[in-house]
Amino acid sequence: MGKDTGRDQQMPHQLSMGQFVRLLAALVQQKGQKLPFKNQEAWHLLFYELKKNKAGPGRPKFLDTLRFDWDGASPKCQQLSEFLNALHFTASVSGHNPGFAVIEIAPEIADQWTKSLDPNDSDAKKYVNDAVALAEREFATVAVA
Amino acid sequence: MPDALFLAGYPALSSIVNQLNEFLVQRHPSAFGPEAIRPVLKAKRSKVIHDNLWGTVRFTWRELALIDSPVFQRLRDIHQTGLAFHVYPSSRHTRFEHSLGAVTIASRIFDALLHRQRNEVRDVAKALWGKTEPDLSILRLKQELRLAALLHDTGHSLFSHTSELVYQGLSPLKAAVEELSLFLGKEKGAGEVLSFCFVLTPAVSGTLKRTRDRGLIGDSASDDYDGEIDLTNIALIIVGRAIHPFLQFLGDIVSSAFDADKLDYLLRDASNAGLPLRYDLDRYLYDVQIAKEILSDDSGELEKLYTKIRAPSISRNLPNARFKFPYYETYRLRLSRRAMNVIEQIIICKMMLFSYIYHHPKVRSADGLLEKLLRRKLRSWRAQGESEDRCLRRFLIMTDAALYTDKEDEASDPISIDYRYRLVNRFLPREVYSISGPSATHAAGTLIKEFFLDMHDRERREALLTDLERAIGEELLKLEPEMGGGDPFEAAAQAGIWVDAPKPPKFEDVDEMVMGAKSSPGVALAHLFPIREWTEAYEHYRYEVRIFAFSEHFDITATAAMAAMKRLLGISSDSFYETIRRERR
Repeated sequence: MGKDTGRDQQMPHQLSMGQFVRLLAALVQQKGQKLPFKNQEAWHLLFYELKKNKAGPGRPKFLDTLRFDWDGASPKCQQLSEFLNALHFTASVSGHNPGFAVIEIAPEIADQWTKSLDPNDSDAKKYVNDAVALAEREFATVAVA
Repeated sequence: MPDALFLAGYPALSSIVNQLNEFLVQRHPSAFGPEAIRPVLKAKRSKVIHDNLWGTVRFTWRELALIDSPVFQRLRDIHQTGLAFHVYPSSRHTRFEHSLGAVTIASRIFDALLHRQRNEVRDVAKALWGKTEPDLSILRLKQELRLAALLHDTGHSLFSHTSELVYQGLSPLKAAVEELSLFLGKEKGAGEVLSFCFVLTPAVSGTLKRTRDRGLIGDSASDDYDGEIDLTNIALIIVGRAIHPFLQFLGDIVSSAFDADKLDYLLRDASNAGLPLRYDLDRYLYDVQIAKEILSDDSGELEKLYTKIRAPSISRNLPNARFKFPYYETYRLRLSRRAMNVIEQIIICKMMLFSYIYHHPKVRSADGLLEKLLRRKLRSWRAQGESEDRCLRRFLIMTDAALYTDKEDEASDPISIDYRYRLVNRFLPREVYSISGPSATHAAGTLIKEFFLDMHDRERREALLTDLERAIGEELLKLEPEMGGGDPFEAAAQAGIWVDAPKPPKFEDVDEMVMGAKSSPGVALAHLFPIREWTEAYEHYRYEVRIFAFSEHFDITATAAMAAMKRLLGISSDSFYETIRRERR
């Protein structure tokens, strides 16, 4: 029996934050870049950059309302923290290394997410690709075991 | 600066302050009105109160003036752990004694800092108020800190956080939450907004002024402070800030990962429930300290805050090779690495309290029923044309006693009458299905994981819960077409159906509580001990999404909910539903 939750093919400007994180994580991993988990600062900086840079068609709407706390050396988004933790504890991703330094998405799940969430219009696709490139740069700076 | 003038440019917050003041003046004219007569007699300079956790505790005349006012007395009738007494009969403690306890702990933390780092605190005082004797400034800061701890929960309504879930949807509060979060550069909740705004009302400042004007009796102690205080600082400390970045540690004492609020409620909730959970407060006090760090401010929110409140002697530093964003130098509350044992104890304590009390299925069941009752009340007030401000006023008036007395607007709603009867007599909904992490190892695992992820995606969560309740109602109607007058939501309401997806305990806010090397940011706790592994283990095994229904509708709900989940989640395997069904055999 099929489901009717709306987790179907959607344009990125309609994606929620959680859907965007899933898509981005899957695409970044498919490019061979490790996804940091224990040190989440790079995730917060990435999303802060995406929020700050308002230019560009295809930008997902959730970025307009994403809120960052200024309570330390770098911005932190509570909403993003909550979702990253959920990604992990629901066992949607795994962290086999002893210190949970990185998270890993099972290849078949990554395929599923990129298929069901990947945008089909060119502006949106370009936005996602640019975000993936930015994520690769941010995540590459994080030392992981 | 006159209180609350700094809120010019924040219309929603200003409006809440005005509304709270009107509420206090109209409801308690003898205490807050233009002709207020209270306090009638001269105030005692101090008084001791015996607390079941912290023993004999002394309170100053300012604190007593507010404790003896209706702003604070209403907390006597707001249970700290909501309806948990349905499961733990002795959990009858209230926000009143918790707030007194928070004052005690905040004061002890401040004293511990002074004992260890008096020179640093004096330097901060000198930097801010050079002309004033630093020790006098320190006494003033301590008084402001204690008042902030005292008043930090004044924004609560009946049964604490359960009603907050409902009144946070009122449009004036939603706007105020947004404004305060922008104002502070920190995300805040509706209850905190109300506590922040209560402090800024003329009613509160008037009470303190009248008390002083009537005169004080009794002997003065060495740490009594009778000079001017800054209610703006008190309001900011409540929400985890202060009037200057150097004073950020005061905000941390009242609102941060290991704050006085938490240190009191963990022990008080455990103790009153009869649970043998403890942490080593003496060790905490031995190790707590302030550390010089930075507060980044790329978006300019902090700059706007400190400009608005005219923070003295402040400088915003430009980014440099070391710090990526503009920043302020600040002093934060930190624990040394030697305090790791007590940090572990506090985290375990919090996890266990979530497991034993806050997420206990029967507690969740009672909370859910009350939330539904309050949502129906709000819907009925709105349908009668009451303004959002008027609805907020109703929540301010209500304390826990309203559950037993406040019935007049339910006469035409049999479901509300039924819900109230059940809450009072403990005919609570029962678990029909319970879905947890381990149930996701089933063949349906991938679909359940997606469902759980959506439950933690703020933009999708509410819509998904609503969709699921409606779908269950629709399936109920296929079985019993007369239920709820044929409306799916009303059918679900009649059967007491509630899809409960509680928020898991948050631990990521403990990041950076541990001291780094000198003048560097604190160390994320995750680098020192396996907090992420612990929290994941807790969430994976203890966190559950539950579907509740009244006992008399158990079987029909089980059938309807299974059909609804098959339709919505796409899980068709009957064996999955047998696994997650919570039948009493």
